[in-house]
Amino acid sequence: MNDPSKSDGEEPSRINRRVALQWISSATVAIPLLELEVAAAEKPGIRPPSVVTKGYGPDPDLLRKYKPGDLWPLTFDKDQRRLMIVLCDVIMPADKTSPSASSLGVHDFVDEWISSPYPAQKGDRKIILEGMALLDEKGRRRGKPNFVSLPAKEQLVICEDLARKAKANVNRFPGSFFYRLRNLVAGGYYTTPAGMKDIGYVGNIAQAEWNGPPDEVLEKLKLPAQ
Amino acid sequence: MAAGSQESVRLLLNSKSNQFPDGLANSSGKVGKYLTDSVASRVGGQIPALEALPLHNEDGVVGQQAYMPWWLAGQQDKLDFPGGYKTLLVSGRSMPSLTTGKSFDRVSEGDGIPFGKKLKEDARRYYGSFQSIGAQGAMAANDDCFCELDPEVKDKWGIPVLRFHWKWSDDELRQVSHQQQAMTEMLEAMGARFFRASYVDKPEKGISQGGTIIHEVGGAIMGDDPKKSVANQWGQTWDVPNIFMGDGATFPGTADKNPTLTIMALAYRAADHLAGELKKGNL
Repeated sequence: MNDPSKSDGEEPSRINRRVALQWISSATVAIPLLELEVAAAEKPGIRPPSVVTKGYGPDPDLLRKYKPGDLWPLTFDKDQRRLMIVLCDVIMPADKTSPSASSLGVHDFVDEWISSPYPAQKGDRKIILEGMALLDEKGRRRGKPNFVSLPAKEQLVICEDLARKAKANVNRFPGSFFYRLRNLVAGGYYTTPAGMKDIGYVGNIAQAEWNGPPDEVLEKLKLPAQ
Repeated sequence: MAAGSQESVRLLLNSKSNQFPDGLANSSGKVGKYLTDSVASRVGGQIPALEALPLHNEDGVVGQQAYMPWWLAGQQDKLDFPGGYKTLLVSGRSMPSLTTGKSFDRVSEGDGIPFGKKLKEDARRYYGSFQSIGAQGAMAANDDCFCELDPEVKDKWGIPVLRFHWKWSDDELRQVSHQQQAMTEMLEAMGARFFRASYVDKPEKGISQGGTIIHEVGGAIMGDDPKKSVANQWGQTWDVPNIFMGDGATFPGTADKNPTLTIMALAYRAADHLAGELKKGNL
């Protein structure tokens, strides 16, 4: 995982491709390892992958160090990447105990996710790109060139409105966009070491024995100590 | 023969000949009949007492650690369904996954889905405080749960696949009402907040779909009558003495236990019998 302190201001350095791919497979319970071809353009004005790609296939080379674009072309251009960085930090901002999502490279994770050629990811790709285009449109309606040019307060107001729409109906656009975006960014965040630390996950370590919950937990639950 | 219960059935049904026009070892017409699966339902809630507990490693609590065997054995006369069920308890701080971000929506307050500072606070407070209990119970075979060769759909080699028919009987529905009542009481005793009403009065909505617990067995059941079963007590088919079934296809029903150990015990028993018969020169 890249060190958050080494990120260069607004645009954190791109995370290692191998890290991003491992991240995708650990963030999802079972990524479908099917060979599926990427569909053609979903919508005019949204860039589809320019190359037909088949994904990992059933027998990926786990020893190879992949570089961006080796398996499938990434999607975000510079503006889209800047927008996703802003959205990452609206959804998972830094606070006094843990870092922001963009400092952990979650925007790159989202780019990898929506660029990969699997059925669930292709569905997410459509909804995320359409939602990002809508946010820039909202920026233009407020007299700015795009969403990221809006003051942080206005960005938040727009997101709060989308969060209400999502709560009302997670299947209706644009609430569906914010719901999927929130799930991807928060899921990406909590599957990093920093995110796991923040949420309080201290497992996945080798241990010689298991002694059950510690006494302070049992005490709090008013159960007899072991 | 041990291709996995339904695949074994498919092989038998697809192995047609002049001698066995309806499939190998199928003179009884019972190959594909009497499928069963565990009878399952679940109840879940959020337990305020489990919020923000001191951090500790809860790996293993999440999955198969807490298992409660059927506790009313021998009291069948007080119940309105045959057999029993076990319960599995799932809780704790499991390793975060991509679904972690949405898992607090049901408990978070506010008029929108949580994000930002609120989501981080909700996550720290509620993570690991959810408790779910699942029941898996016994099922007796019935005439409505069976499979047959699909007349149209074939696999990539052009071989017909199976198509399945399933209908729970009233016994299973009554069992699910009992499961829902018992598991709801357990969660109530833990002080749970529920997110929906239990299915005590609507078991047809709470019951699992047949086959989804992946304890699917049957289709070439063992029995003592060649007209009503496919194999004898050794898993040896009545029609063809040199076929021994070694998987879950011979189960005439599903118990309130997982089938794997019984499959292994039956295979061991069949192999033992086979070795004995070979020594005697009978096979």
